[in-house]
Amino acid sequence: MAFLELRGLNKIYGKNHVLQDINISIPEGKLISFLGPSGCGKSTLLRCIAGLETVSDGKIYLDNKDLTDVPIQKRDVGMVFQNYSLFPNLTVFDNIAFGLKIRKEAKEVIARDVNEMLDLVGLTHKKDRFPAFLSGGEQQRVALARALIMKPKVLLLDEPLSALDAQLRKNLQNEIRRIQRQLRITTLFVTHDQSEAMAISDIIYLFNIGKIESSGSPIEIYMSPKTEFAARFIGNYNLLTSEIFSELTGCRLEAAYLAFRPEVVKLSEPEFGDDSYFFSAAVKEVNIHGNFIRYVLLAGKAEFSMDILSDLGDPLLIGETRQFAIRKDCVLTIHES
Amino acid sequence: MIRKFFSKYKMIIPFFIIVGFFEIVPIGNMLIQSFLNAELRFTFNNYVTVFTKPVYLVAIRNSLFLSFISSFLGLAIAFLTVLSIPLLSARLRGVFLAMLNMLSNFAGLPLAFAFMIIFGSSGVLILLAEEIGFESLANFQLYSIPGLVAVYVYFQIPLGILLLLPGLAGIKKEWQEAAYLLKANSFQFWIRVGIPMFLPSLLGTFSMLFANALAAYATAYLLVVTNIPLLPIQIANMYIGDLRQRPELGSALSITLLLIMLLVIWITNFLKKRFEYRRV
Repeated sequence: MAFLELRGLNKIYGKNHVLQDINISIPEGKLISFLGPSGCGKSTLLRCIAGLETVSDGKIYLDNKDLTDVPIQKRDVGMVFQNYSLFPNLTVFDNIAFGLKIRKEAKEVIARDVNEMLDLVGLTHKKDRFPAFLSGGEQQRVALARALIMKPKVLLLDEPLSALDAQLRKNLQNEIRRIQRQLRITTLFVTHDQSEAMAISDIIYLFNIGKIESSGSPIEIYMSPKTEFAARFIGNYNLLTSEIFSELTGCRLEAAYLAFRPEVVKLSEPEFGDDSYFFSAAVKEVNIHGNFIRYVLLAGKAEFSMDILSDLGDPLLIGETRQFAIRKDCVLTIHES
Repeated sequence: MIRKFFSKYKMIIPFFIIVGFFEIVPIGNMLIQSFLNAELRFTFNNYVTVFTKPVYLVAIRNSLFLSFISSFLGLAIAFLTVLSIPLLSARLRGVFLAMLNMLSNFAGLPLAFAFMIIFGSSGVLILLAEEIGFESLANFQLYSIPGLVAVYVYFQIPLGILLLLPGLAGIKKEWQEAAYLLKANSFQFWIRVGIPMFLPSLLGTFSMLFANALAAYATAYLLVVTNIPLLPIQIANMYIGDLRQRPELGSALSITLLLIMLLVIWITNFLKKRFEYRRV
């Protein structure tokens, strides 16, 4: 049995089947992301593991113990909430010490462990501040330290970075990953941001309407989406029906959809050979994204995007028609819709 | 300039007119009268009388005791009730709130009559208790200080609940969940986080309940008339006395009552500020 095992988990609220037959096996010491759009059930699953929600059906096993009906306090699970939920009447030190005080640890142990945690999250100089006088990033780190000090078997992070600005998010992603690796703690990270999931995870579970759509390492999820939803949600794949793809390239492939990422569309070069599809298309839109430019191209009924690094020559102009190419092995066939 | 001022604040002018006529002018008048004798000469005698004559000292003591104990008990019961409201279903919560609104308006003479019918010397429950030999209830004296405490607590509870409800909404469910995940039980959460966060609301409600009890007149008058001296009844007697009216002494008693209220409000506000934490 895996370290954390979810078997046939279902959660039903009235007529809403929020989680449908969830089966997941999670190895110890890994960082796993639950990725999906809002309302897909990923946070509910996290809350079920924490014991904050009951499951309608199914079992949760942690370290060979059935957790399904165990009270929250006895689960050995730590959690960081989306809005951190720090106790406003306690200082940073007392927030982090809260669980140890409940466990009636000796004062010296509390002081030693809290100071270690403060050091780990780099907040020693702010230990006497109240939460209202901390920045969002600092509050997030206090919440992380407060959960970690209890040495939980599993750490649950429910969109912990969603309230922060882009630069801070990136810094804290790295910090969470560093701490997770340092402590080798099994971590479940809920996010709706695919780039965040890619950057931080060992394994990603992609959720859609209460079900697991696909799972795998970030590179597997990105390079080989199995379904239309996975292709659309991850990597901004261009999806064309086989008819439209056939009109575009003159080649008919048996599939519900043909998928290719924007960065595999290239301006045609003489050295491209039989391993590529060729077609002409007009530039409909040009969007500058800093290090790359995203073009929206139009060819008959086919509309799709192409990403080109900003330093590769002069940008194309709107209305300009050019010859483009896609390597054949970069086109994926999607059979499920 | 004046036109601009009136145009900007025209909606609030009626409020200030009412406050002026029904609060400021009477208080000013009382304050002046409290320092006058029957010949309209300046004197401190009214206050000397208030703080030396046993009947007024007992009235102040009784009113303070009754207000404090009824506010404290009312607040404690209201607090426990408020904590259990989230456990009700949405439908039951609606019924509860509707009943609460009704109960909070059930005060004064009708409430005194209701208590007389149930707990009076020939009250339904008292007779029943005598019949079945339930001595402690059969010996209950409604027309006494403990009887007044029971009535006061009764009308303090619904008001207390109404005043505490907004404060409860400020206690976030996530704090509770975070505490449980850190192995705290519900009691430990309330002791360490819930009550400290709720304290400003509790203190504010206490001062409102205290003022409510201190100024309560009709219920107390019907139950104890002048058998038990209370400050509001003593004040009223100065204006409606059968033998002679003493508005100057009534004013001094009223100002004393007002000062007690202000002192309690000041203390609770001071404590509220001490325990108010900035929310994240």
